[in-house]
Amino acid sequence: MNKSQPSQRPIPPTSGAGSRDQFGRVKNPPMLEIIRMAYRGVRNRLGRMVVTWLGIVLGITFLMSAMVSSGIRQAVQEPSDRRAAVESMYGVLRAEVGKLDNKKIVVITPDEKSSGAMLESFLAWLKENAEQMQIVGPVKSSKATMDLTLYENASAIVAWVPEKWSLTPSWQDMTKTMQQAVVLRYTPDPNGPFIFDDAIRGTEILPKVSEGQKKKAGEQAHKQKLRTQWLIGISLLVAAIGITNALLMSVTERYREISTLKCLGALNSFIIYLMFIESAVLGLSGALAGTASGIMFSLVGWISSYDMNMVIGSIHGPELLKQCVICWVVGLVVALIAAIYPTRIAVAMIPADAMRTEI
Amino acid sequence: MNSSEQNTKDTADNGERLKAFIDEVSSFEGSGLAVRVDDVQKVYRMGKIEVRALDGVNLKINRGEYISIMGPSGSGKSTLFNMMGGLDKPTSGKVYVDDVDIAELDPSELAWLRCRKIGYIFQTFNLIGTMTALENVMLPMAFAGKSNDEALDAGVDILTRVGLGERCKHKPTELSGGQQQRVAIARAFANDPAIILADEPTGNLDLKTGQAIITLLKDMNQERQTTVISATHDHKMLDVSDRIVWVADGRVDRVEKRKDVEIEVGKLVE
Repeated sequence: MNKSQPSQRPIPPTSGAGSRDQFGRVKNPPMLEIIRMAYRGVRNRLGRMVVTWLGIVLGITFLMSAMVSSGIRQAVQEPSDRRAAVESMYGVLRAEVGKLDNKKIVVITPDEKSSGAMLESFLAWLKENAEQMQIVGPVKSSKATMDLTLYENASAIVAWVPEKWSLTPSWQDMTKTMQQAVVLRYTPDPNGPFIFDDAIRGTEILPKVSEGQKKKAGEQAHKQKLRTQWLIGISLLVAAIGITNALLMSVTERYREISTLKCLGALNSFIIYLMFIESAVLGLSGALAGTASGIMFSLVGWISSYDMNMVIGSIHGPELLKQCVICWVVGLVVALIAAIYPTRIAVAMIPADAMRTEI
Repeated sequence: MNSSEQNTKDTADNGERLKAFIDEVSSFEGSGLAVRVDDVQKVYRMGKIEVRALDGVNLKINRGEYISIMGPSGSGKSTLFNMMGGLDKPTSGKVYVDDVDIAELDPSELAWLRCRKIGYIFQTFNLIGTMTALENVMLPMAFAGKSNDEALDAGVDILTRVGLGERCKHKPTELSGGQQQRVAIARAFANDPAIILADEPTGNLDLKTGQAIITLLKDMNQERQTTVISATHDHKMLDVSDRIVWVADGRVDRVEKRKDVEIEVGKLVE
């Protein structure tokens, strides 16, 4: 009798049994609880995951140290570049004026803003290398065009002013009266080519940095940047594979656990949350450790070849924080991408696997 | 109908058979059935070879019954077991749990079935290693939507019931095999399911501990009127079972009542 009508579902009127309506929906536990579970999972497996976790740390260390190093490089190399510039400037001055001892040198600076580190270095250099030299100034440019007595017996005028200023008629006229003076002009162009010209003769003593040289320097910088990016990319790939591997390990290791969770009524979304949060915990903790070790490695590297105070002084707080945040985000994103494949495997598991004894 | 009427007149024995038949039908109609397995076949494909794990199984299990499924390895016992628990889908045929065809359920409803209707007990206990005994028991309650406080109280209650009230805060590794299985039983009963599916619950336990687990299961079965379906090799289980289903070669070989088995065992002993 049963066999003849197997598809008929008897629905008793009295109880809820027999009807699908009795079935409710399963809810996921609160997110905090899932996060706690995932965290516990990672913590318990950290011993075994440590090598792969170190992969993430290594990747982020690369990224962080590359970013910090480029910051330090700028800060540390600027003074040494400046030093080279000052040195060549001094050389030109020596060549034109001869021995600078007991000579009078007038230094003119712009009105609007302070002339910056380069001028200070230059003045310091002059004092260091020429004894009993008479340095007049720095004189503000507005005053310099008014007071001609400043230039009496001056051997050299160092004008720390933009190019266009030197072309103003009053300056042109003035330089004509200064027969003995050699005029050095420095243009505070941030990208470097500083110019010395002999205003009297209207020619430049030192040529500007040629376009070819400039281009070459630019190419060098670009290549350097590409190399760094390549290294960072490779290390991040290594980190991503590391996380994928760690998670895959954790999935196979927890074959039974995941199936059991499904037997207990876990939805696939719960498994997905669990896997992704676990991966995020791995990625974030790795990124935190990676930023710390990245900062440490780059500092150690630079301190070993430059002055410690200078290196440490060159670190800019907000910039460093920005770099840290970039590393954390990258670590997190890499971890989440790495979690996709293992999560798919975990979701595909069937609850019946929990029954299997041979795993 | 005519022939059956004649039969009842003919022999008293036939009358009893009819009564049994009516009982069966009415229990079916009145949905006294916890599980109904209807001509279920399951075919696995291992490469090119077809393995017929179940070959037309029919089975009815009443509410509150304690059933043991016995059979050698490879008999299809585990497959049948998984079908009844909604853990696997039949190739053909139907499985009804509380008169609901579980093939019709969507994933969320299936999860609900596993969460609220069925409690699972495993041979290998399958406790979550990172959680304490109490947290393990609270987990299915969390899936069922119970608040943390409710789950906490209920979890402590049920752990106390299985005799582990003092060990709520212990991790599975800090518990003996028997204690772990008690936690697993507490977890299976956490949402007061209609059916408990126990897969070789004593398989990894020594004789004495196994006996205690069987007794506990039977007590819970009596107290809560929970249907217990247990796949087992363990003959200790037979003592407490209402019926024993013998599976062989993907079919139900025979179904015996405990009374009959006792007689058989008695005969054997003599």
